Amino acid sequence: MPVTLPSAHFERLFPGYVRFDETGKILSAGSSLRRLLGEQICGQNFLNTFEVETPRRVSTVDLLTDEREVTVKFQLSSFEYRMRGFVLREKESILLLLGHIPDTDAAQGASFLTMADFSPADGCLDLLVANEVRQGLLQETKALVAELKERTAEAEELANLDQLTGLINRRGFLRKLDEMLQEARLADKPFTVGLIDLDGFKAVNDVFGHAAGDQVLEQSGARIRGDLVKGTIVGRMGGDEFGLIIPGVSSEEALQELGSVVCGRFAEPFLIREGVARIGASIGFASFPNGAESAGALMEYADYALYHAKQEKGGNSVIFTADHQRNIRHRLKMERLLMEADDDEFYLVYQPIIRSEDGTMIGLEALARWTSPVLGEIGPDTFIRLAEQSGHVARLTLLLLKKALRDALTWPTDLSLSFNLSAIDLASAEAAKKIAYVVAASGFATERLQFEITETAMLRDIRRAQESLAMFTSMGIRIALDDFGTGYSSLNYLWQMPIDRLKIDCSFTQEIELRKDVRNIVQSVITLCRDLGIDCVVEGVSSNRQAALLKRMRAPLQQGFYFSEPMRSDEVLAMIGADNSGRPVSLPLVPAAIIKAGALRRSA
Amino acid sequence: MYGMVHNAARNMAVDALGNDEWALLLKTYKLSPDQFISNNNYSDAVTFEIVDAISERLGVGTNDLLRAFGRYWIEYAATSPFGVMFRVGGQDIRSFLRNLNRMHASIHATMPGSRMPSFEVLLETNSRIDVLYVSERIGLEAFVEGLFSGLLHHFGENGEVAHLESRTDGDVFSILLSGPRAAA
Repeated sequence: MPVTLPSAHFERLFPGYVRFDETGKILSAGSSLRRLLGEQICGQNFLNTFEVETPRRVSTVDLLTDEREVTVKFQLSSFEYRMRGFVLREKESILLLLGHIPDTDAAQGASFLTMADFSPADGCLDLLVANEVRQGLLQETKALVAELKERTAEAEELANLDQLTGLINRRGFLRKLDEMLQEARLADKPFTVGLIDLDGFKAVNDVFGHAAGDQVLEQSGARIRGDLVKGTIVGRMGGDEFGLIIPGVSSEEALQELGSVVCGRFAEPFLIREGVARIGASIGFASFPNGAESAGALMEYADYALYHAKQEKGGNSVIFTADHQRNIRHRLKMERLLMEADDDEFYLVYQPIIRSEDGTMIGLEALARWTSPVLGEIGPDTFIRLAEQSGHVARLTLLLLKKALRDALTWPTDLSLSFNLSAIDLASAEAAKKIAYVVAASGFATERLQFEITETAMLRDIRRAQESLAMFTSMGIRIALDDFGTGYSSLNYLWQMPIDRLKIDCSFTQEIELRKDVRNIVQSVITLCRDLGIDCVVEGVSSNRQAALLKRMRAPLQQGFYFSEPMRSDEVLAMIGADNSGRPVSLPLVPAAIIKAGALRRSA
Repeated sequence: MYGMVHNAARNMAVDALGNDEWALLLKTYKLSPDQFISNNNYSDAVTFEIVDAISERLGVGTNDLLRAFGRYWIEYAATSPFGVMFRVGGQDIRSFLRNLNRMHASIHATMPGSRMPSFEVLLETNSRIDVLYVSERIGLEAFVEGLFSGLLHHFGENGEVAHLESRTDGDVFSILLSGPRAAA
């Protein structure tokens, strides 16, 4: 059914129409075309203004057949603009009902277009708007990404910076080290890593407080940084430790000189608000490629050299050498052997604990020993520390505790067993439970058992240590504080922890005859223990004179080579048997003088 | 509302307060940077949370803030990456208002989560245009006032906007044009 529209409505519905006669002369055009191509479009030839893209080969308007779809294009500024529509052949004219095409050019053309260019029914507008919205969102996303990148770069810089000293921090230092390592490998150039630790810094913190410590750290950073080999990277590794990456230097002479220069910078005292602080610096160097070839190894070796620098006297530098390398290899070998060791390689020896008053043995301390089939006898200090560091100490504790309890079951019931626990044994509830289980399963009377722990073991995690010790004491096991006087010797432990016995370290005993002050300290501790109602054992007694002196000082218990060297289980049994029989004990480990004096007797 | 509205509110607040104060505002009012992603559609509660926070921080009543924000939104949107839609919308305030529903419909096609209001021109003379504003949202009359005021400014017109009446079918606003262009 034909519909006749008023011209205004027709214009609104078809703002892109164009009408031309049989010769192609444009008779009229919609508002949109007039706006895009100018009012002068009327009167021009259709095919001079528009190119018919489809159908192809339309060279005269005659070829535009009725009711056929058509795509035309025309030049608009610098781009081609396309419209699509429908051909209606009228009596004396041809009408093209054209609409805009939402392609890229049209989107560009959107800057020319307004709502009036689109028929209300033309969804093309929605597509153009969608295109604009998406462009906008894309632009906004790009801006966000750029902002994010900027913030990331800022965060990265901050993440690698030590706020206090303005130096790069450990993270940044390790990154630089990786970069340097890559460059050095490619260019085959040496470089050296240095680790610096401040000597006496803790005392500054303790005496002046942390604010003063911060000032010293800040000034230390500045002193280290000043006038080094060109291109040297300085970082703060954390705490009072600094790091150096020194390009192009690896010779021993150059490093020794550099070490002296840097250490020398700490000779001058530090002026801080709280006063004057004096500290020193120790340095460990490790070089690429002679010392190590990976970042991890360089750091480890520099740290190893630093450890030796601090061990020597502090305030100097040590360069990681082939000897150090050999020591590390030996340690690794020992660690491997320890890990693979059979249970039989470990055994216990026992050292008697003697009552001063009458020389009676009241118990024995179990001491661990390891005989490696490859390395031979390894000292307990060495292998126990190694076991602690390598995470094997828990296995050793349980193994040796079982052996000790088994041995002690054969002893007379008035002899107690003292057994040493490591810090790690107290550090977890699970480890403590396993120990408790071994004790319970052994059938050994818990009131005869004493666990010896060091201050260091408690310092590791006091709350956890308290819980573990509480569990042991609830079972009737007694606790001895070992090596008293060598650590922080905090008297807090005596009331915070369930301590039944305190063992004064052998370093005091060695000096007790020679130095009055040491004698006074030992006397004070003995008196303190008596007042607190706890046992006191003086360790390391090695002479008759020491034993006699300690007896005069009313030390209740003593232990040491003077009374007996540590004995194997069968030797203990032999000694006990001899004593029981009333005959003199003829153990080679027991000094003849003691046997004669009858000092080594089992209590009645 | 879509996050682009939140972004406009943030920009307005940053213009007034500065970046540091804005960061403090986010922290104080427990607002999250996640609430400012343009293409995300947020519940109106989030939008009002932001508006209330800015209003409280600036010490401006909610309606005054919404009015100011309406004006700000027009300039923000016109100069934003989405500004081309303003040009397509019309060359003057009259054609723009007539085309507004169509523009919103087109935007809705891209942002289907949007709940667009409608604007119907009830009266148009040389010096006055009355517009019926219908929205399923309530409480935004001051914002609409600000929008019309912003449009006047955007198209270089002088005039005033008044909220004439609230009817059951919507709210009628009157844009009173003054100055030489009003008589044209």
